[in-house]
Amino acid sequence: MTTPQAVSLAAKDIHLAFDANTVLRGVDLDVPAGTTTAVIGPSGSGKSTLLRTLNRLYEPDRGDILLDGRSVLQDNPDQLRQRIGMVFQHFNLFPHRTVLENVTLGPRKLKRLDTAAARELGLKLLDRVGLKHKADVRPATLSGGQQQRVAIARALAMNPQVMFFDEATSALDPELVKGILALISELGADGMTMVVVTHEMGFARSAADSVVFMDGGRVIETGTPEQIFESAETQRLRQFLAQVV
Amino acid sequence: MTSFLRATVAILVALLVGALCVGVPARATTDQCAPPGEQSASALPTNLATAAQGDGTDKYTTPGTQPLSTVRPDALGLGTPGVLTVGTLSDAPPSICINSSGQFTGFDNELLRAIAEKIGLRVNFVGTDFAGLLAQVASRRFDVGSSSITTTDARRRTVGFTNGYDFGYFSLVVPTGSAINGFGALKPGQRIGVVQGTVQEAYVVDTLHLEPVKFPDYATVYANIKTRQIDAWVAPSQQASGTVQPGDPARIVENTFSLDNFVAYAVAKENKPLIDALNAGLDAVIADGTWARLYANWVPRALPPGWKPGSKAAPVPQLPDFNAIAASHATAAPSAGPGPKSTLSQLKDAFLDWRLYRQAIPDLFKTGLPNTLILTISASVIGLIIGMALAIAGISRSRWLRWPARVYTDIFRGLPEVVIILVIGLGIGPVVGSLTGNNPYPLGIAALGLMAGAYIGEILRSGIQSVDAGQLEASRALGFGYPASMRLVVVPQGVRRVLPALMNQFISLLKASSLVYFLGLIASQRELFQVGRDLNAQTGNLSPLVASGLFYLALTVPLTHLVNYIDRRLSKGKPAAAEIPTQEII
Repeated sequence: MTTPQAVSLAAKDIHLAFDANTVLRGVDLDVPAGTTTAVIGPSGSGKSTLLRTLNRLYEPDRGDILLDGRSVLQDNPDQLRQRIGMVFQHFNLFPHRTVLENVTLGPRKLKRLDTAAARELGLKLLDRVGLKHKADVRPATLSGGQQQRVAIARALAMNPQVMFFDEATSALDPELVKGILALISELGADGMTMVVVTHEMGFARSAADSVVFMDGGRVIETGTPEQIFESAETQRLRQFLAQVV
Repeated sequence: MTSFLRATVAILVALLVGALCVGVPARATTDQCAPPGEQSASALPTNLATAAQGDGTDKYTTPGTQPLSTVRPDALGLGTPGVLTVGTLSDAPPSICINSSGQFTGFDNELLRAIAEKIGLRVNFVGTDFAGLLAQVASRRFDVGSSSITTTDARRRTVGFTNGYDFGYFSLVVPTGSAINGFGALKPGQRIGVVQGTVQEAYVVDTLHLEPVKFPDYATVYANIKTRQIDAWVAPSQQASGTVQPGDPARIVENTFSLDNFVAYAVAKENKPLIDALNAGLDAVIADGTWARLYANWVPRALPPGWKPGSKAAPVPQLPDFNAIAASHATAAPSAGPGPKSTLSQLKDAFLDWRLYRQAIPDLFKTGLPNTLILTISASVIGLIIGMALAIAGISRSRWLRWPARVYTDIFRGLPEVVIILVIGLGIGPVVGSLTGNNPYPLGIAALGLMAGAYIGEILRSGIQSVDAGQLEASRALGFGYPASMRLVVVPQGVRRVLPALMNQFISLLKASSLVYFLGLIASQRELFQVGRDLNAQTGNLSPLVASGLFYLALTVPLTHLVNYIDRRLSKGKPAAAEIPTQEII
């Protein structure tokens, strides 16, 4: 699978509130083309909300989002999201469709691929995540790890320029986590621009090009994995790392 | 499971077909809707009470009529040009009834046919119920109402009437052995049955100053007399003598008569040309002897002194001497009829008359079943479309979509089905009359569909809302807009979850389709209930209704089990190998 020409992603001073509940308080993010940024932080720090704001599932109250250096806030949000693949903690596969249909739904309906071409694409992607033999079953019959692989294939089927992973391994049994992380790393190694929200510190350390620590809707520290994990500058990050590592 | 289902269906079908084929030898039919002939003539009742005698002045019968040759059939304000659309009933033989071949007939309707022929019109009879008949005539749903309607001042406020073609006695019918021996013996506290909206109701209330028990039709009152649920029935005498059969546990104890309230056809008050034309036609059929022939054949009884049909200028009809015929019978006939039957054999006769099953089932199959299915399925389709719109609007973020959906749902779920059907059928009917050709069938479908829409909307909304929010999020993250996400991802899952509830709604609708009977259907439009009801009214026997009930069960019982089966399968999940492709279900 060839990754399309990698693009950069940046966020400037993103603010978001749901009524009285302020979730993001001025978040800056800079993901150079072809790199992986891991976002870590305690629950409720706004990590998942940040991802959904970057692909405009939530519209930011203030700030700007740049894809390939250009603001996307005036774009059609549906078309923007076709360029950004997203993988969820709970997979969110479509249970009423087969594994293959889950993967091909987007290309068929949004890119007008004919059935044969969509099938070929879908099988190729399923092969890549190791599930070609499960193409015609319903997602409910798969294990969690298998479902997440399908979800990744589904996101890749739209041939996105950027991939978001929202705690993609948090709902998995421990023995399945490794395989999914390996798959994500592999994507990063292929040159995909990625933002990975994760609780897997080992993964953030080994596979990410840079790590962002969020707390209370703000970015507290940004740096290379070494800077974040070896020489944290803030008390808050040291405290967090002490608890999770 | 499927095999169990198949077996159930097979057994029910076998039962029905069996009832068709099992060779129960046909006994001679006592069709109450056949002309009894002049030999059955009755004399003027000797025990005529004087209670209801009016002042005797007749201020409504016209002095004469316009010449028949000056009637212009195209200027009569008819709903359908060239066709006289007539609202009639099926339950009052021999005046108005439906015969064994499913045609509306009886003295009143045959006479009207003859009159229409004189004018140069075709007649189209449509069944309805009496309570709604005058309103339907006034709203021009029907050009003419033909139902042995006694003209009263109260009714003249709603509709206009032709000259009289018959006259009305009231009979007092009581269960055998009752102590009530005449109108004078009626007192407060007794349950006195009348048909709602009839002149007998007015008589009981205004003249006797008593509170009657109201029934929708004659057959139901009579069934109540036979089972002693009521103490007395004040009936039009034609209906009483046509309905009370020898051996029945009921008898006629007294008759009364009101000279100034003759029987006439009802026409919309403002449609003077049609009233004049019918009056001209009536005089013409009296002059050429048709009236006398039909009268002697269908309702042979002596005319009360001082009354004749038609305008004041119409000739006196030449009738056989009914008093003499009746007198000759009185001597010849055995004084005692067959003795009263036992309660058990009455019940058996009322519910298990195999001959009537054999008579009812072909009609139920050919007419009732297709119509019930057409009504139910069409209404379901409308209901699903409206329901889906309501469900989508109901979960919308815009209050301008949510509120109307809410109001609609509250109204249509809050009203009884029969109210919706009557209001839409009778209220909206005249407004869209030109669109539907005054045919209530589409209105019935619309009423059922509008009602079903409210329930289906709530079912779908709950189904859609039960779908995990992550599904919409995942679909939108792929790049689908909100409408496409709903259509491709959320709604199919929501619908699937509520399939059992939707099936239940379909079953309710199937049963509710019987209420379309209130709107008045022509013979070929009758659904299961009305086919059974008509034969029930025609024979006074409940077997046809039981037969139509069996048809409903043959439809609803398998469906109910199908619902349970789907329900179990959805809740238990199922093996991957045995999966039904979802698209086919949805």
